[in-house]
Amino acid sequence: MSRLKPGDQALPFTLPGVDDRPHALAGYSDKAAVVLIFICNHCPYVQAWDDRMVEIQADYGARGVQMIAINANDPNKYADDSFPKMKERAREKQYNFPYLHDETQEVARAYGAEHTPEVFVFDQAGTLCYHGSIDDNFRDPKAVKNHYLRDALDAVLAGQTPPLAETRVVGCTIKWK
Amino acid sequence: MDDDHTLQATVPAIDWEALLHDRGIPITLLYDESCPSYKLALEDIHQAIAEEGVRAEITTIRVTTEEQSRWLHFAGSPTILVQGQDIDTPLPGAPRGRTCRAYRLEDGRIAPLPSRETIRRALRAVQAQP
Repeated sequence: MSRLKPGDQALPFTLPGVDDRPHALAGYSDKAAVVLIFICNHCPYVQAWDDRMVEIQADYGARGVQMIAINANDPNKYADDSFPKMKERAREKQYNFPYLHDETQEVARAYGAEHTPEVFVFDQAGTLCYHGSIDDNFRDPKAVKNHYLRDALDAVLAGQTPPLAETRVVGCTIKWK
Repeated sequence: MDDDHTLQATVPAIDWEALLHDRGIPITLLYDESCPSYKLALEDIHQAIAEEGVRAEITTIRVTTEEQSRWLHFAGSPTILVQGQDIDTPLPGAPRGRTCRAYRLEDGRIAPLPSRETIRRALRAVQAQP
């Protein structure tokens, strides 16, 4: 499986969201930056970063950043990752971004995502500017030293290149069919 | 040939308690390599042992098959057993087996490994046993 690399263009997709509406990536082309983040319900790494994802969207939404979360896990392996459970999680955690279901896993495979959570940041031209982790400490938000995603967004919004184009992804593996 | 021979040598009984004491508290770390937090868990075990000032013998077991997972009643990676007992109760409804295990921390947050305090508490509980 080949992974999208910094400098590559975003791949178009349309997926159903927990709001029961289809979401096309093209529908967010007016955004200054789009953060695609592959997540799922059951993974403790995602749960550890959940609140930080919501905070980042809240902090950057008004500046033209749109986060989009995608769950591609096979619900037959983890019932918690089913579409109805996704709706519950989005409600419970008050996700302030679309949470989409990649049931066929085609989008995850096309992007080359392997873990949850795994971040892809695109600028307004749809170019991949950052790929990797949200930050460097899944364990304790107060102990974070490197805010990779925030740093990447600050750079993209300032029309600059993020300080790091890629970081190591830490999390659960995507559960393939 | 003398058929009526009796084993005269005295075999000393094994003092398991003393043996356990000599080797220290048995700690087992069960993990699946696909969940990276097991490395931090191992560091935490070493640190908890030092902080509690106890002797312990650590065994690490990499779970690689579903069969092994079932046989070990693997609750997810990482799982830490202190003297054979899981140091934490698996979260209700959480997936078990070869999956990354979720722990609820003291402040209510979910994490992919237990807090060091949970390990220390388990060590203290073993020491407090008569």
